[in-house]
Amino acid sequence: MTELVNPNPTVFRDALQHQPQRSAEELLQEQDESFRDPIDSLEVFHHIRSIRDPEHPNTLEELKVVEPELIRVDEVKQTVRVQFTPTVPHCSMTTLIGLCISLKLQRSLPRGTKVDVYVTPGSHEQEEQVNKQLNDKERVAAALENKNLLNVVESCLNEFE
Amino acid sequence: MPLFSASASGNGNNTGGAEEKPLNLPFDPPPLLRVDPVAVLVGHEDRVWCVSWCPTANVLASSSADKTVKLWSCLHHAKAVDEQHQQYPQKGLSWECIHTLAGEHSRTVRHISWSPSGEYIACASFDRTATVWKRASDDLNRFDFELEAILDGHESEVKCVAWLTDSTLATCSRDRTVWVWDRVDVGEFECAGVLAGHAQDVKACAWIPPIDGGAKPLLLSCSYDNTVKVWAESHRRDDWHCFQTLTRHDETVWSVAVQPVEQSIETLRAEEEEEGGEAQPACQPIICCCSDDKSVTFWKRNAEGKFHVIVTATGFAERSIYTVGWAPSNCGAIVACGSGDNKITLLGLYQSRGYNEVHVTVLAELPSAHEADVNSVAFCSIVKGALDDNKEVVNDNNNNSSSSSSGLLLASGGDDNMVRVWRVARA
Repeated sequence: MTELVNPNPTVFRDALQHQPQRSAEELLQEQDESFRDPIDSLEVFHHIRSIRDPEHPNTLEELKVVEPELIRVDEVKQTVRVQFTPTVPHCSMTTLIGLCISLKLQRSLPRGTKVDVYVTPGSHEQEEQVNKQLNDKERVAAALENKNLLNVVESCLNEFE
Repeated sequence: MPLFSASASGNGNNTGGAEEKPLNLPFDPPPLLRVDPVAVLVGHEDRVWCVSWCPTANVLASSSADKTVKLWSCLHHAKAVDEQHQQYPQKGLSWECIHTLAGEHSRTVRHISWSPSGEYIACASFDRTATVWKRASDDLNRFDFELEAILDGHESEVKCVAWLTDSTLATCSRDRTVWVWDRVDVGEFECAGVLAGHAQDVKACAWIPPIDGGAKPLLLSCSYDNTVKVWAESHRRDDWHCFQTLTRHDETVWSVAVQPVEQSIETLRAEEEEEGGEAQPACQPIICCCSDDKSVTFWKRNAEGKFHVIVTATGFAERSIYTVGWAPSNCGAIVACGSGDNKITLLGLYQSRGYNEVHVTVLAELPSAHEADVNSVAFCSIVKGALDDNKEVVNDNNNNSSSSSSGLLLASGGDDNMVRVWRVARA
């Protein structure tokens, strides 16, 4: 068995008790079907919070890899920018986690939405290289045609039972 | 208003007897252009990566992540126009899929290229191979293709393929190499060179055909390592080396395109005025490339053969520029660009009289050409036939006169699975 990249991640259990809440006004707007429902950072966060870490039985939210404050949405340009924070600076799973976020949002958000996924600045040793790979859509597409890799990604996207 | 201009002969250091070849550029700013939709070609089941026109007929090829290549053509309906067709903007005409190349590639077909005669199509695939397809019929009006050869050698996804002649082509790959292949027999190709030097994924390659009789072709490749490399064959056959590395872009260089050069635009005008004159020296093609850094750069060679930047276009695209394609030479120096903000932009180049400066300006913009990224743009190189079609259509509706470029067709392919055909005319 290979050595774990990060054997002792910090788990933030409280995350489950303090889920972000929408204001009453926002909840009312959601009921009004005539009101166009814009994408916002909470919705994006909702899509990716439950992605599983490749190594541990925890979600990205529990490990604080993804947080709503690190998500930017430009509704006019239909652009979503997500920063995620690997659990350790040398994490070799970082690109894989980025792929999971990218694919999940690609499937969940309206077609034509531009999704940019970046490592939180200063949080990874190979920040530039990882960011360049994750935002090369051709390499992302080619990677996801690799069945072995796609299976790993799919298992991370599936909800816990 | 020009976006940017730069001295074209900044490095003018003419040691040696060779003269710098002139550029095929007009002296006046080109007129603004109008781009009108002609057809939306539906059929691919996944993103369209590449569109490419047959050099000898109005047939368009498109390649897709659905692992197929489709051939499209504009068909005239022989029977009288019925009620249904009256609703189409192009009365009596419709673009249809006439052939599909399928079953041979197990993954995305990333790029396609027609050989100069139109007799062969080469495909580059993520399955690590390139394939060569040959027309199965001698009938000039039939476009059935059958597999002729599989080019196997790359260690990872093949990103681009480009013919030099009907017997020589180049491929490039994520394995960082560019390969040159020569046809040695029917259905058989031999590797004539493995060109290594890029530090990363090679995105595209293109040939600069020889200008003079004695010159040799050059091969260009652009890469995820942010550079464009120029490859030349040494005196010893099949000995390729990197002649120059062009470093200007800050991000991945996605595409490189060579201007088609037949005869100087200004030379043609001069000949019209003077009714004959001394032969002008051949023009050199301008090279352009586009990048993740949202810029398009244009390059020419100095007297020593080294490339340098003559002008850069920026500010018109909000996301990566994935593709550039030149218009036919008799339409002026026009380049189409496709970008990740779903946009197609047409740029025009011209030069100053006497000051050796080159300028670039935006001639047309299609902000929502596709519903997703634009991956490929290509001008049809046959203007005459399209012009005839246009006259026919225009005469049916009204008697607008056609300008010289009104029959120019442009195709694009995008992440919305669509192939689109546009007509470019003066505004």
